[in-house]
Amino acid sequence: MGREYKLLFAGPMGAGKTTAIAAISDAAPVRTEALNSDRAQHQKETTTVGFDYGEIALEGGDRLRLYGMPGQDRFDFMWRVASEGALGVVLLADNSRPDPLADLALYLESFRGMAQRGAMVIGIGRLGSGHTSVESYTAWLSAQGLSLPVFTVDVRRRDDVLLLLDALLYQIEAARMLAEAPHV
Amino acid sequence: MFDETAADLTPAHFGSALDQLLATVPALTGAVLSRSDGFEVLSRTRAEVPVSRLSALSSSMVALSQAALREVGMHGGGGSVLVEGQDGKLLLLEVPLRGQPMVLAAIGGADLVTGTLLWAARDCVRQLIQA
Amino acid sequence: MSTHTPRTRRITCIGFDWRAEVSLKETLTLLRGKTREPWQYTDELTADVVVYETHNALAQAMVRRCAAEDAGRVFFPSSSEDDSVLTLRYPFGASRLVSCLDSASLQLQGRLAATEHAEAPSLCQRLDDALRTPGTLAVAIRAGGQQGWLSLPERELHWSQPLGVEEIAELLSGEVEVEALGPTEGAALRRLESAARHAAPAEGLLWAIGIARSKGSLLSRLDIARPCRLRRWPDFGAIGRRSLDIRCASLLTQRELAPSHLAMMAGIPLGVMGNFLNACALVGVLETSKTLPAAAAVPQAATLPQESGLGSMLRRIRTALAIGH
Ligand SMILES: Nc1nc2c(ncn2[C@@H]2O[C@H](COP(=O)(O)OP(=O)(O)OP(=O)(O)O)[C@@H](O)[C@H]2O)c(=O)[nH]1
Ligand SMILES: [Mg+2]
Repeated sequence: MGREYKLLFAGPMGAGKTTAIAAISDAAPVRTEALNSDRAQHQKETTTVGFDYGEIALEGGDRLRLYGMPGQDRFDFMWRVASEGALGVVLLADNSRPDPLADLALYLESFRGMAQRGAMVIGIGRLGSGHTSVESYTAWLSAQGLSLPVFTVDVRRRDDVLLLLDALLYQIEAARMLAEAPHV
Repeated sequence: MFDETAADLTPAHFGSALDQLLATVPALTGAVLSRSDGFEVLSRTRAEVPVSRLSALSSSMVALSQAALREVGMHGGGGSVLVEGQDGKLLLLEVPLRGQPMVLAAIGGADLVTGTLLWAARDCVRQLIQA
Repeated sequence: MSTHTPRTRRITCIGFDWRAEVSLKETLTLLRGKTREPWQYTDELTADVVVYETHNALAQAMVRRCAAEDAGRVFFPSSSEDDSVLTLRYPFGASRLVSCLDSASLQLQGRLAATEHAEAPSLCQRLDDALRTPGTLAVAIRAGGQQGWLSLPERELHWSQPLGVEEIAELLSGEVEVEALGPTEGAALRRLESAARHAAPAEGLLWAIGIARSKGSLLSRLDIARPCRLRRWPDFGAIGRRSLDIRCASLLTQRELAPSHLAMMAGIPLGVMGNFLNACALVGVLETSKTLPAAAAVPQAATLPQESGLGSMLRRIRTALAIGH
């Protein structure tokens, strides 16, 4: 039996969690979409109510599991269940939403453990459709005592999703290395 | 669609279908009707039930079980999920309403007979989907 | 992107066992092409770099004499009380040796530049100087037929035409003029404002200049021994993904580190690291410590053992996704 490693994708409705997982999963992901009846929140046709599940096969028979969370906070029970044993989380923000920093606060709180050990990366989508600057995100994070990677991305592009994963992996590695190295 | 604030847009026969379900099965604690994306539409309860949490959970569980069926090559429509515990049972049924699929959740204590519950809940679904 | 052809530097060691000498020669051969400048072993004490065994009294005396005669040389002791000093101990680890050699290259070049002004400052250096000139309101940039300006303090960029790949390539390869404009150059500033109206992302351009137009030298205001950290992450979404940059940034945002230590931890030659630091400085995210480390503990090259659980997993994930090294 190979070992399993788990990464999460979280963030508000329509930020692109389902899209991101589909962009990098080996095979078509398992989806749990339902008809979106809250068009005031988001115009899109469907929304995730269970989770998205994708995988990436690793050498030696192990597997990297990718879990896309439902965005709406009514489903926060799913976030808690899925967080268990997760290596890290990709948080997607949607800059076209009314208050993207308030969104960020909600998800940071829910995934605080991972944020605090640096196992989190933030991708801002639709930057040009909103008025919050990238600096506002980083300044807001600094005020929380966090210095997490923040990148502007379009998760419809596979390479942008890879950027997020690359940074997340280095974050995890750096945190581990620095924990082992004496303080300067 | 069915707006939370405009309960009067909910068809009248939804209410009577749920009323009849509770009347037929006295061991039921409550029944909750939700949209497939987890918003509550209507509920009838005899005791304290966290209705909106249950709505969200119901939609997740039904979607996950449909996904599981699809993975093993079976069509997932019109299905049900039964969860049993020491203290009671939770039955989830898909309500294939055209334009707005829904989920019916029925909760009852340990003394609730599964067959009775299934039969009465399916009958309730039939009433819900008739125009 | 340095324009001079690299000279071959010479290194020697004194006071060690003969095995150390052989090992140093062999390691140098293995490192061919991996250091900023080519290196060769010599027996002469006139070498650019002298590695000496601290516990050997004769070696110490010889080093004192050499140091007194000629300042243009770099010494590495085998050990030191002062932890901020780079040391080289037998057996010589390859990555450690690369860090030391690259550090020596920078020091030797720095001395050369200081004494002879052999090379004009890099574009990166000129831009950094202009951005930091007190009272600067904007920095005018001219490349070929194009021009633009960076407003301060926001560092917003405006260009005379939409800044596409071609324009950036011109900026990164051709002659570029840079000029700091202060309050007295109001007319020039207004001319620029009307000539260059296309807003363009500044971070990507500044980053590219730091990486590609540093001439292999660290900005003069930076120091490989002075700890620094990143105030925030550069936006690699706009800049582009280079695993090396991401790796360094993840360390420097989590801990203040001297560049020489960072190079060791990240397993990256100091010369390459220099470009990264220049880019960070130009983008405005690098913060340097006011103080040099006072005999602080040097983090050893704490690279994760490749086949430790985490190290192996991260490597395999990168392989599966075809990212990273
Ligand atoms: N224009 C634009 N569209 C984007 C961008 N990123 C994602 N999208 C689109 O936005 C939609 C995102 O939908 P999903 O991937 O379902 O979003 P989700 O985060 O899974 O949403 P929930 O599951 O409902 O929480 C898709 O239609 C994407 O094509 C972007 O940067 N720009
Ligand atoms: Mg989704």
